[in-house]
Amino acid sequence: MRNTFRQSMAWLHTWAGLIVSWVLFAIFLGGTLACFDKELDYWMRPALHQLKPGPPSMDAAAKTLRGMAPNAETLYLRPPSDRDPSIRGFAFEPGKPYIDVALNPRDGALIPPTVGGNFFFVLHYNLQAGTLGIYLVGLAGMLMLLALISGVIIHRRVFKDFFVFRPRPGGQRAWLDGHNLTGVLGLPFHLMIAYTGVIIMMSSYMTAGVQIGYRGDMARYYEALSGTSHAVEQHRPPRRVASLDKILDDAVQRLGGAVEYLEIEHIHDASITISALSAGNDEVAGGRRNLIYDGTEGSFRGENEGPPTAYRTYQFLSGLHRVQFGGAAIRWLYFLLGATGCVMLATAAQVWIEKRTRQVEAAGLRSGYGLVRALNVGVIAGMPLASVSLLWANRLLPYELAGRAGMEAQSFCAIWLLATIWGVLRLRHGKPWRDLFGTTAALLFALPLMNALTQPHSSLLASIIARDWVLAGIDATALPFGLGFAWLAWISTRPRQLARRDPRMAPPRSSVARSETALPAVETP
Amino acid sequence: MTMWLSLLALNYLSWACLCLAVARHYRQHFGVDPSPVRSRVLRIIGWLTTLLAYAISVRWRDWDIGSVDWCASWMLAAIAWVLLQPYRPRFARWLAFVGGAASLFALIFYPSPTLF
Repeated sequence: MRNTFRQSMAWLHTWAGLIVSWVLFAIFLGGTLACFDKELDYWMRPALHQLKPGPPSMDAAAKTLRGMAPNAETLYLRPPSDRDPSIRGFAFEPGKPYIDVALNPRDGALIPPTVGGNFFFVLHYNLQAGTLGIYLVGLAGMLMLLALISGVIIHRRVFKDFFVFRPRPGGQRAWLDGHNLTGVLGLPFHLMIAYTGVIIMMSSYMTAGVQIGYRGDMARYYEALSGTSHAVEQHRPPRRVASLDKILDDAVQRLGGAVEYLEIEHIHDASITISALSAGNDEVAGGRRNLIYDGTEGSFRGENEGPPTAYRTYQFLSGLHRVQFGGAAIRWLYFLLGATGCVMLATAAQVWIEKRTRQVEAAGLRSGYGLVRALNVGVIAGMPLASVSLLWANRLLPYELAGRAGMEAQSFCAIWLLATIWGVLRLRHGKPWRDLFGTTAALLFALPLMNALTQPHSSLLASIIARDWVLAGIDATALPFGLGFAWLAWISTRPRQLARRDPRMAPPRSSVARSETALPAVETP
Repeated sequence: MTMWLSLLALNYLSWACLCLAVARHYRQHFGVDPSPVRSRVLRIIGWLTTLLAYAISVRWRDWDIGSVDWCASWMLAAIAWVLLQPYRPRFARWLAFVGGAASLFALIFYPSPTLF
């Protein structure tokens, strides 16, 4: 059956695509939402919405962070930016969980914890499953590259059908056109995002180089890559610690731009060193400059030599993926292109089912086909619902609750699970797609209202009056997306077209019959 | 903002011209085949407008970010045109014309970098 090169590529595209399509959809949706991770972080921390204007107090933030991690050797502080006005603190103590907190930029007080938009970012790169998840995501990314390339090979009419979209309801043609459209027109983006996505984690996937060159010593490898040097410890406590605020001011002046991180190294030793890493958002590759300050006097010591070219190349590729450059507009473009990627994956799953309508109906729900249908509805309709529910959970859970961040994540998972169960139960009699899309639409429409009721100071109206466009943007974006999901729910309500029951239109088993219909651009294996 | 809209509008105009240069799509829009000259003119205008869009995005934000700007708006403009034209062909053409004209106007009369 797979005689020609194209037929074997069609087989590869179908099956390599199918087995990772659900996990890829989750990765794509997570990544799309993570385009605005810092904005979502801000939205999910109402304590930050009422800040008085004034300079940030890095010293107060450092004090809080030191109190939380007294034994940490190194502290990282991220100063406020246009996207997120909080000071973020990161610290690691051996044998304890990693500390990642948001601090009030005025007094350094701890802000009630939330998973924040960061949740989607973590979901995007490791599915919230640690190292195993990183490997799974890498595998999915590599299979996506395979599916993209084999997809171009089997698409016989890439240029002829370049502008073709035939949205007649029902049948596999519209789905296939939709899949080809988002796949072909978004191809540069998909190729770039899949390739750079795999590259970001390349030292985890291709370990031979580190094993041979650095005998598996990851720390030494990263040190050599980034070209930073570390001060020698003096084994006595520092006399005092210099003011971080002054250092930040000085660094911003010297860099002529924003500082991404302040790194406080050897905090318990007289060799304490503070370095300021430039954000470098005017370059795709991001910051290369690193200013070093004496940690006791606060005097400027010099600038680290920039990273070597190899690392710069890596920074460029990962920068292209992480899109921290170029302001909000380009994040919007990535967000929209990511959304087309989600559509590409969703339509692909639908094409797979539509192509096999007969077999699907004959085999019933307790079969492989039933499993595919269940996964389709559970992932493609369930995950958007769970994502909106996370925002709801953020506002509805009391702020004083202990372990609040964990409960937000749990509610995300619980809603996703419930949605999947509901979808599966309704597959036999009912319209699971309509139910889940409709609920998502309702939650999105009601999001600004719920926000206004629970946090009156953060409502859409209040944030527009305060000209807080980041905050207003999230509520305002929920509305068109609500419309989109309502439209999806509406088209899944329409009766299924029975045209394909027509024997002439029935999915033929031989490729001869298919070439007569001359319509599908992709061959079935 | 102006810059973004101009980029998107120019790329959209470019795709509209390139699409209408194809006889099959020209027929869908106007019911007749395009003359060879018209087809060629449309194709040339299409390529020129997207080149212009690339030139201004590189001038605006340098080679690295400018290229990303252009490429992303190029893809989104294509998707917008292809999704719009089967449903609202007249509006799709009108949008290409008005958007292109408005962005050319903005580029000629307000070429100051502050606007961009």
